[in-house]
Amino acid sequence: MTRRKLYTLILVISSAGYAWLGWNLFNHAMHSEEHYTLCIFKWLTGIPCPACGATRSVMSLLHADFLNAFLINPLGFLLLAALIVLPLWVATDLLKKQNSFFCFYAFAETKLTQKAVALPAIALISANWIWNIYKHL
Amino acid sequence: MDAQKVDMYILTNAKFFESHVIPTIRERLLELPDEKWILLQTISLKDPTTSLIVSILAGQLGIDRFIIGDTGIGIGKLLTCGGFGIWTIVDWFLIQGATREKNLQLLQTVFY
Repeated sequence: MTRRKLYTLILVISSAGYAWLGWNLFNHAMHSEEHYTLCIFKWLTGIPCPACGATRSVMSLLHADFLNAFLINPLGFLLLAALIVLPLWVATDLLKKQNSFFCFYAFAETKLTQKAVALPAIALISANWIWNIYKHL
Repeated sequence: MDAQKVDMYILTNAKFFESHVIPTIRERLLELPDEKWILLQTISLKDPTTSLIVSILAGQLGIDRFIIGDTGIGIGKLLTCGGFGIWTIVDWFLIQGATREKNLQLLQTVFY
């Protein structure tokens, strides 16, 4: 993974995230109760994936409904934080011609492959997934 | 290393690398000292076909990226429902190339 590829990927994915969020906000403002999903996993199997409900969670956060956001999917907090921080970090890096985010990414990747970090993370994600299935998201 | 050994290695492992890097790999292996042969045998290369199957079956959860060692991207895919479903489909086409690239990186650890 080169620096350019990583930065392009992050910018593309976060702009897709903003577009998706904007479309959802627009839909919400139109008082449409219809719920759309982009999740292929849920569409194919009928079972929610670990990240299902993240959109609804972020939407609740935007309406300052923190408890509801947590109850829908706690990953929403993480995703909203990432959506705000990552594009800004990448943009400042690109403007200042630094690669602080690239170094951080490499560091985080080596950290995450260590067993002491990976196993709790897997356990948390699995627990959240089971909760998602239980909630019928 | 003698040419016979190198050619044997290339023959058995050609499918793990991009075809355009094979001549370079062969040249580098010929220059490699003989004691590195064992080390070369011990590195486990990932099969691009396997990662393609995993990508089709579990790409939505980022498992394909975790398997080839792209942990960061794997997490990105896992937490965004496979990059809004689009990235999952894009990765069906990219994962074989990505696996071969990772294999080349693994091989480079032997050279240095």
